[in-house]
Amino acid sequence: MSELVIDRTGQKEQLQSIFGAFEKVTVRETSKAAELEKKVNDFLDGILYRKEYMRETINDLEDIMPKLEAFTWSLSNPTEEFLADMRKIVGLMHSLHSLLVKNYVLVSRYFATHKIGKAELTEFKSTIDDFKELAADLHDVVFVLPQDEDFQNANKRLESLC
Amino acid sequence: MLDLYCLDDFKVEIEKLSKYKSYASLEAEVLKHFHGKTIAEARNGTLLNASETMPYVKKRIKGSGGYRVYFLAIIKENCLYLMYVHPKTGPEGSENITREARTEFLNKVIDAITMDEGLYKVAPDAKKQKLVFTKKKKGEPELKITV
Repeated sequence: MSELVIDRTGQKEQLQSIFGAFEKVTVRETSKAAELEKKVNDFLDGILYRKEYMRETINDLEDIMPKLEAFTWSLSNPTEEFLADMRKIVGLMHSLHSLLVKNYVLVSRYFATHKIGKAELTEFKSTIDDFKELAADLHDVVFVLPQDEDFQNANKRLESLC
Repeated sequence: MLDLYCLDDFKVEIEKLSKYKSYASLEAEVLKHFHGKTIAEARNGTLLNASETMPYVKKRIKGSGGYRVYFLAIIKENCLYLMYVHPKTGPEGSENITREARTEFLNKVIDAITMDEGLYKVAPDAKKQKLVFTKKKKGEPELKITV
């Protein structure tokens, strides 16, 4: 018998194997469809949740920063109590910044793995950088510049203009 | 409306930064925050020198990752002097300026006002998108620029 002639027994075995494979895939796809959909939805919910969390934090910090800047406009003859409060605020800002950086690292690792959310991450990072900058500025304005001889000499020159 | 002047340092930075595409919005942002404003409208930011009559201010413009502008306002004269600007991000971005630089800019603007030299009048171009700098001549009263 030529090798090209199909052996009926072999043919049947092959067909049964294919039917078996079809059945296996069909059963899996049917039984796992709901589970797969849930996993995809959970993944998308995770992305949305993280994006929303970053947006809320950005908005909150953008709201707080002008209020913190406003404190610098009431610094002539500050009371001891006010200075203590400012020291506490600057300390809290540094602690919060550390926490935000930690969360940024976690989120950026997650987003980078899936190559998503680059714009949101960039804005989040810029905002927490601004927050850190403001903490440093507040510290300087309240505690460092008033003791800085060169800066105070320049201020005296400025006062003499009037 | 306030009279807007600047130091050479501010002009030099604007000219340098305007060459970058990433800072294309800078001049329009400066105009948005300072041109046609009263001092009360323009002066918000971090007050560095605890003076409400001659506030030396660091102002954030264009929000996070935007620019920082340092200026001195002399309320009685209704004048605002732009001293320095830097971006936070991009090729020329920097996080902050040093304490020494803050003092240096304050001394520079005091020198410029006292000696009445080294100042530029700042105004918008016809499209109100770019800054036009006109050198203030010594002894010259306020420049009147028609756009």
